[in-house]
Amino acid sequence: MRTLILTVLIVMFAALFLSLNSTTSLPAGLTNVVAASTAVDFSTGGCQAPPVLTYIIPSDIAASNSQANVNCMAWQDFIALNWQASISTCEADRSVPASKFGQPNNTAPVVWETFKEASEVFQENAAPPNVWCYQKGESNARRVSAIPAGYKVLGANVTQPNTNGAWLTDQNGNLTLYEIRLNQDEFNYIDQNQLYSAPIQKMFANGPGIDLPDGTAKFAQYGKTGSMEFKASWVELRDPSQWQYFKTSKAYIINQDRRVPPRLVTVGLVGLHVIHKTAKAPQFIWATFEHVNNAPSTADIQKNTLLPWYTYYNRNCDRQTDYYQCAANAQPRSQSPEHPQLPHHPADPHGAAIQVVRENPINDTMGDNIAGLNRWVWELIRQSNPQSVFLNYQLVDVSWSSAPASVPPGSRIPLTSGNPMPNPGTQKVVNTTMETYFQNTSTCLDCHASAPIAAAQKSKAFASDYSFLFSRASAPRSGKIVSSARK
Amino acid sequence: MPMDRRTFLKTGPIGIAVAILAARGQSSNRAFLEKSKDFLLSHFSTPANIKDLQGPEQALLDELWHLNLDAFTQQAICGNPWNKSGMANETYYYNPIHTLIPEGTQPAIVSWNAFPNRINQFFGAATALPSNPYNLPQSSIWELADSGFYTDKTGRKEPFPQVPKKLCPQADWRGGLHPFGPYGPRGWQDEYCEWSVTRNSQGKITRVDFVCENPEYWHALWRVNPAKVAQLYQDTLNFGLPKGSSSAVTVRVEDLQLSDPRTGKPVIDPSTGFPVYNPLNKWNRGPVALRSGASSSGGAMHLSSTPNTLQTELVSLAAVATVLREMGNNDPQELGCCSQNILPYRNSDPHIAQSINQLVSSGSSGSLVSVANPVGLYMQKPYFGGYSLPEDPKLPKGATAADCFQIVRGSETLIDPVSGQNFPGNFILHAVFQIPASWIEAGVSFTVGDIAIKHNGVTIPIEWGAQIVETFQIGLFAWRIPASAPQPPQACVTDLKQPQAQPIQLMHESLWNACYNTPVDNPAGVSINLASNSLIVPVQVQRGATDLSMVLVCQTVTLGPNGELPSLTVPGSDITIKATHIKNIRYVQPGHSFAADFQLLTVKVGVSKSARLGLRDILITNFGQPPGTPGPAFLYVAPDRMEGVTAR
Repeated sequence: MRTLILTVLIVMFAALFLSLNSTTSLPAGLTNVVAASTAVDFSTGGCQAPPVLTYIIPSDIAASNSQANVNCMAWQDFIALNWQASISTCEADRSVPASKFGQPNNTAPVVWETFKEASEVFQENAAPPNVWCYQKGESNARRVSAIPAGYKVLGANVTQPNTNGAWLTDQNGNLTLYEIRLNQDEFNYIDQNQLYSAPIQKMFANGPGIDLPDGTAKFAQYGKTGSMEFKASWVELRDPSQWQYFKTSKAYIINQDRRVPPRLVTVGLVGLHVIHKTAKAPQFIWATFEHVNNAPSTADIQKNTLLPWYTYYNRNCDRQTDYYQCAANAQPRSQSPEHPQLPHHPADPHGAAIQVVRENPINDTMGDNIAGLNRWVWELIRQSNPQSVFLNYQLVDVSWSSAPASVPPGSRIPLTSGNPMPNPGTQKVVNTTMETYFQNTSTCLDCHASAPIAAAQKSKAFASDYSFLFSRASAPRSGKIVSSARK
Repeated sequence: MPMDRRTFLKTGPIGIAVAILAARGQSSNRAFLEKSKDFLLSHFSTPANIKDLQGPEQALLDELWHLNLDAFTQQAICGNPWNKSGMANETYYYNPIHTLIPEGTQPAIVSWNAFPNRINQFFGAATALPSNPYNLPQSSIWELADSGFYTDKTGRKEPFPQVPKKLCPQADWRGGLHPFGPYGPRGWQDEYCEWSVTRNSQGKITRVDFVCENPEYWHALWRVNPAKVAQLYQDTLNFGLPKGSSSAVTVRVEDLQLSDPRTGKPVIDPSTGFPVYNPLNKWNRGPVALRSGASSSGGAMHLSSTPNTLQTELVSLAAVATVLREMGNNDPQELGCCSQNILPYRNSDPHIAQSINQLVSSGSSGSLVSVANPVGLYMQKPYFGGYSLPEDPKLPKGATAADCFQIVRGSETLIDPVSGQNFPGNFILHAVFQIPASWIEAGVSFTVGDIAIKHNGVTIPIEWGAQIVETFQIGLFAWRIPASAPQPPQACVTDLKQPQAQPIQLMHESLWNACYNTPVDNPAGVSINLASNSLIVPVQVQRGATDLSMVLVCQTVTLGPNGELPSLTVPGSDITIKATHIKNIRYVQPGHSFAADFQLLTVKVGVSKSARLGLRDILITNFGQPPGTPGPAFLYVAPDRMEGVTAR
C-alpha cells in the first residue's frame, strides 16, 4: 500500500509538473538517441485520461471515443502491461515501484510476457491448454526441455504474414523473432468454451457465435479487462552494451534446423502490437509500439533528421556491398513483382540485413499528436526513472473504429471495420518490424475483419471476432469432439 | 426611405446594443468570480475569435453573433416537446453564459475525417457494410466527391446513383431507393467541410479552397457591412496568388446580393432596409472555381450544403445527443437511429452524437456538456506523411508539401478561456492548397496536380481535391462539467400520439417568398429552392413596428372544425402575432438533408413601443388544445424603431 501511495504521489507530482511546464527541456536522462529528437512539443492531445505510471490496466476508453483518448489508453495499456510481473501470479508485481519501471539490464518478464503464448493455447490434436499461469514450463512443442521461470522460447516464428514467408534481418545479421500472446480474459473464453478445438469452434460460431469478452458484466466469468492480444518482435542483442537501451529478456532461440540446439541469449524488444477489446471498442483498439532506434521515416531521411544508429537501418549503407543494394524494405518477388528486391527469395541469406524505412511517419498533427504524446509520456516516465528503458519506446499509432458496432452471433467474414481511424486510405497503422513489407497496403482491420475460424472455407467462413488465433485450432486426433482432461 | 448604413450603425436599434455590450466590459472573454476561479462565459465569441471588422462595427457583429448563439443554445435546451417523445427539456446541454464551468475543466475535441463518408459507403468498393451494389473504383469516388458526377467506362458523366431510403437500423438495399443527397450545388459535401477546385487550361488542379465556416456568421457579417464581406471574399479567393495572377477575381457587393426571381431586383431585408445576402452567390457556389477573367465564377467561402449549419449542429444534433438512451451509447448507428438526430453513415454526425452522449454518461454523477466557445466547426491540419513533391531544382531548401496548405482564415491554435491552455486542435476556418507564391517566384514550375498523395500504398498525383480532403479532419470542442445527478436513460424517440404545433422557422414574408421561389440547380436534378439555404435565426424587430408580414414554418399544425387557425402568442403581451393564412409546403428545413412536409402560416406581427427588449419566444397552439411550450428565441426586439422597417 505504501508503494501504491508513493506511486500515486509521484504520478500527481509528475502530472502537475507537466501541466505547468508544457515546454520543458528534453529530459536529461534520455539516451542520446531520444534526445536527438528536435521537436519539443509535449502534449496529451487533450485526452480525458492522461497516462499515469501504474500497473492498473485500463478497462475502456476514457469518456468519449476519440483519437486522443485511444492514444492515451494505448500508452496506459503499455505502461501497465510492461510492469514487472510476478511470475507466480502472472500479474504485475505490486511491490515494484514506479521508480523501477523499465529498469535497465533487468530481464525479468513484464506482465504481458507471462501471458499464454498462442501455441500454448492452440495445440496439436486440440489438446487442452494448461491452466492459466502454469508454473512448470510449457515446453512440449518448443524443443527446450526445462525452461527456467521467466525465460521464453523464440524462433518458431520468424516470418511475417501475407508475405510468402518473408523474414526481417537486422543490421547485425540477426533474424527478428516473433511471439503472440493473449491475456487471461481471452484465454478463459477460449478455454472454457473449448475453442482450441476446431470442430467445437465451428459449432460454437454457428451457435452463440464467437464474441470475445470485452470486460463488461456480461463476460464477468472471463475477467474484467477485456480480451487482449500481443504480438512482439525481438532481436538478439549480442553486444551487452546495448542492453541498457532495450527491454530485455532471456530467451532460448530455436533454429529451423532441428539439429541445431537451442541457444540461450538476451533479446531486446523492438516492436509490440497491443490490441484490446472493450465495450466501447467492439472492433478492438489496435495500438503498436516500437523501439525508437528501429528505423527512420521517409520524412526523417528527407529532412536528414536521422538518429545516430538504428537496428534496422544503416546510415552508411553502400549499394556496392549491401546484398539488397540498400533497397528500402526489400520485398520478395511475389510481393512486389515490379520491384523484386529479394532476388532469390526464399533462398536469399537470412543474415543479409534489410534496410528498413518507416513509410508512414509518426503523426504530429494536433488532431493525432502521437509525437507530442510520446514526449509527454517519456517525461512522465523520466520523472520516476530517468534510466528507464521505456524512454526508448514510442507509440507509433492507434487504429480504432469511429463507427463501432457489436458483431451479431453467427456472423461471417468480412466483419465490419467500423469506419476506422486514422483514415486507412492515407495513413496506415503499421509496425516496421512486423509489417515491414506492406506498410502501405493494409491496416489492422483491413485484414482482421476477415479472420475466420479454423479449417474454414476462405469465403463465407464464420468470423472469429477479428482474431487470427482461432484459425490455429486443430481437430482432435480421433476426429471426435471430446472434452479432454486438463493437465 | 431606408437610412444609410452609417447612420443605421450609429443610431439604429442594435447600435444601442453595442453600447450595452461596451458597458458590459467585453474586453475580456473570461469572467472571474470573486471567490472562485470557476468560469462563466460573458458572451459567445465569433468563430475562431475572428475579428473581420473594427471598432463599433466589430462590436455590433459581436453582439449579433452572441444573440444568435444564445438563441441556438436556448433552442437546443428546449428540444422538441411538440411532436416527439424523448427529445425535450435537454438540460444536460448547458448554456455557458448561465452555467459556471468549474476550474480545471479541460476541453475535449471531437473530430472526424472530412471526406463525405456516405459516398464511400454507398458507392465505394471498400469493405463498408452493408455492401453496396455499385463498387465504383476509387477514382470515381473522388470524382463524385469533387463534382457530383463520375465518368463511367464509356466516358459518360453520370450523376450519383440512387441509394436506400431506409437507413435504420441499417441501409436496406432491397427496399426503396431515392436520389443521393443532400442536394444543392455541392450539397453532397456534408461533413462540415466543402471545397472548390481551380484548374488550369490543361485541366490540372492549381488550387483547392476548403471551408468549414458556418453560413450564419456570413449572414451576420453582411448585416453589418456588406462592402467588407465583398472585400473579404475578394481577399480570400485571391489569397496567396502571385502578383498579376490571371486567377485573381474582383468581387462586387452586387455579386453577393439575392435577386428577386421575378423582378431581378435586389431583395430587401425588412429588418435592415438593405439588400439581402445570397448564400449561394456566384463566388460561393458549386465545387468548381472558374478563373478566366470576366467569366470567372465559383468558389468556396462558407458552408452551403443544407445540413451544414451551426443552428442545427447545436439544436438538432448536439443537444439531442445529451439525452441518454436505454440502449446505451456504444454503437453510434444504433444510438443515432434511436435518437433520430443523425443521417447514418456520415463520418460526422453519428460520431459527434455518440461522443457527446458518452461525455454526458461519464463521471460518477454524469456530466453536462456544451460546445466550447468559440462555437464552430474547425478544420484540422492534414497528415502530410503520404504527400510527395515532384523533384524540382528550383524548390527552396526544406520545402515540403505542408507549405502548400495555407491557412487563410482562423488560426492554428487558440487559448481555451477556461483552462488558459491551448485547445487540443486547430481552429482553421478556410484553407487553400496551392503552390506558395515564393516557390513560383523562385522558378518552381510544377503545380498542385503534380504533387502526389499515397492512397492505399499507391502514390497518385492530385487529380481531385477529395484526395487532399481524405488527409484531414474537421473538429469541434466540448466543455464537459459534472452533473449534480446522473441522468435517467430514456426510451428511443417516437412521434407523440397527440402532437402540438411545432414552430420551426420565422422569416419576413418577402424574404421567404424570394427564397422559396428561387430554384437551386444541383447535379441530382432534384427540385429544391433557396429557402433550404435560409437561416433559422431570431428575426429582428423594433419597438413600435406594426403590421409586419412574416411567415412561420410549422409542423403538426391542425385546424379547428371550422378551419380555425392555430393561435399565436409572444409571452409577455407586448407583441401581437396572428396567423392569417395557412398552406402546405415542402422543402429542406435549413440544417437538414432531405425535404419534408411542413405548414406555412402567414402571420402579422406588431411590437409595442414598450416591448421588452431581447430574445423573445413564440407560442403556437392548435385550436382546441391547451397551450404547450413556447419556441425559444424566434424574435429579437431591438431597442429602437428603425426608419424603413414598417408595414410593407
